[in-house]
Amino acid sequence: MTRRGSWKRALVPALPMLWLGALFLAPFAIIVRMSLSTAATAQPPYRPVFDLAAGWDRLRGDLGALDLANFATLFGDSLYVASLWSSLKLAGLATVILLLIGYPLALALSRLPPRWKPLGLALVILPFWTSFLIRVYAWIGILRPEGYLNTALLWLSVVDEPVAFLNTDFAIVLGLVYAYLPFMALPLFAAVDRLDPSLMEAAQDLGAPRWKAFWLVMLPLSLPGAVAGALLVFIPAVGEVVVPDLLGGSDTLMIGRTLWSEFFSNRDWPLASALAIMLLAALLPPILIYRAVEARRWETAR
Amino acid sequence: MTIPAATRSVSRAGRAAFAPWLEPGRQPLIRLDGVTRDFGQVRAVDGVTLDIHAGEIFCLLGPSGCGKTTLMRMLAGFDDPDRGRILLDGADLVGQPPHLRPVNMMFQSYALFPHLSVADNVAFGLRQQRLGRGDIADRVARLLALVELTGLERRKPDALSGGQKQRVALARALARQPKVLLLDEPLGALDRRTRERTQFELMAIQRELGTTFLVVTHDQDEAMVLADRIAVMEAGKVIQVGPPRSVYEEPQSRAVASFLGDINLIEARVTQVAPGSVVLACPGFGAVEVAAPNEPVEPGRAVALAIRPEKLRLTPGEGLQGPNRALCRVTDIGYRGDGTLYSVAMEEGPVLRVSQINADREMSQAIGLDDVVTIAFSPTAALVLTR
Repeated sequence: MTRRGSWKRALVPALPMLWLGALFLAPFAIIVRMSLSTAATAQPPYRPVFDLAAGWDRLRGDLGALDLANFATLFGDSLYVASLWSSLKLAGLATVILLLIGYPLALALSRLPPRWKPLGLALVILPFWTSFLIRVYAWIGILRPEGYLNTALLWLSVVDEPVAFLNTDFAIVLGLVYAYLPFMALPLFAAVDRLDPSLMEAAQDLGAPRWKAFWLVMLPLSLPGAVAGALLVFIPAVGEVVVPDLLGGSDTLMIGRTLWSEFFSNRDWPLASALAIMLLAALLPPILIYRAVEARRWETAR
Repeated sequence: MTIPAATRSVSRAGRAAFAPWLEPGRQPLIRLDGVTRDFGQVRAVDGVTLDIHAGEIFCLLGPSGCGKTTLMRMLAGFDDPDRGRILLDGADLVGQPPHLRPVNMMFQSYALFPHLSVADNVAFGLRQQRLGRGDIADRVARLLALVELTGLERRKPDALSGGQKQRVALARALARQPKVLLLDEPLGALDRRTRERTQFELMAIQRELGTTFLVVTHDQDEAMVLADRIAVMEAGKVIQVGPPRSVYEEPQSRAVASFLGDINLIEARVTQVAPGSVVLACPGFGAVEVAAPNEPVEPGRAVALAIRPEKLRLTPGEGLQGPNRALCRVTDIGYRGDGTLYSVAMEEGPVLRVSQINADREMSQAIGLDDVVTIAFSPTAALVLTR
């Protein structure tokens, strides 16, 4: 009876583990293996292909054919490191802007009267009801030389001739900020809304002007929400494909786009896999730092 | 046998002749002048005019929604009146942001900063004043000694008991030496035992520092024990102001009488007016003689006879002789250990509540359900209320 009970209880944590194994670790292993292979004009487009039926010797030979040549290419050609660096910069800039927009938005939402809050939150999520691709396309209509923004600026005589907004880094950052705002706003709202409003009042009562009360009380207490929002936004933004592809210029380097063209235009799957691993490695430190900070917070909370 | 003199008088009533509000021409510390605040269609605070003097413990007492909290928030600066002035030492505070007001508040939830230690919480207000590190450390140490929390400097608020949190909140609010300390339901979150001890500690600290305390509470016991004066509020208005004794013993209206403590209100009519006393025709009692009210009344006037349960005498049978008495039947008995609360019904007239102190162990057994009893009261035990 108790044995059966404990067996069933073990099943509960086992399920997410299985999920993680099947949907993350297994594909990741395939990517790693592919990154160590060599591109070939064949189906599948890489060598070696492991064939268990061909016998042990053949398999050993195949294993010996795996090497780090793709990684050498990545670091040898400045294109890849440059595109990773520029992705990190653009995504970082977008994340900072999102934090600056997200806080006022989250604070405004949390101060809505209780019966308006669900509507406010629904409005933040509403854009998801339209296809992401269509929403990014809509920005082309706004940003292009004869688009709405330029028409408005010309009409207001702010500028004399159309400004080239489209196909610039500005457009990419704008697109990223637009696309990822809900992912920043929602965790921030959750963190801010939980706080007792009298904490801010207490800080002001004790002589801190409003901005200082925010800095000394609101910010440290909502930091977990800010970090969660920043990660939720930064990580996918670094690998973003659609936004740089549609809004960015032809000379814009972003790693997602480079990856895409290696996979589909060059059909160099091994090099693309190596690039994907490099991207993952670049994103690992911030995640680990976040985990360490969270763990310490739990420790001290006790 | 010698009776030891009280080493320190704890209750406010024991404070000899502290009554600055009676001194003519004395400038109050706080003057509220026609303060009015509307929230949409609701008038939360309605033309409140009050003087509060330096060194007082002043209580705003009223049910929830009576405007007492709004009034306190306007003093702290979290809200401003639509009309009227709030003067502190003669200077109008209206429009001044909270961080510039020489007033501090102890919040009902305490609002301790959970990410800061006890010492950092207390030091928060001092750091905003740009004091030196040494000065801040000294003052934090003195404040923590005052509230008896020395040794807990490095604890986080979550690791404190309710009573300890309350004392951190008090020390933090006192740190900047405010001219007025606002206390929002200061004992509301504490269990009964801690409350009683904390009440006396609050008073001792107030006497030591001399800071003016403005306490908002809905708990009349808290107000009675703490306050030098109580302002009873109802529907945004102050309906009576005075020391606890006068608010309890000389309520000026039915509302004040029934909000503070338990009271029997019997609708009656004035029949005779004599110097110093009036005679009322009162259902159940017939003619009763009561001390005259402050406001002159004329025969025929409809009034309420108000008498508190502890001021009615109860004897078994038809024993009591004299005026102001009635025969009743016991309809309910609430035994509380130290005393007993009886409900008694008169032949013709209302049901009254009578409380008796069980001064003798046999006493509570003398009267049973359905027994006939006589109730009586002296002319000065009851009140005539015209409003």
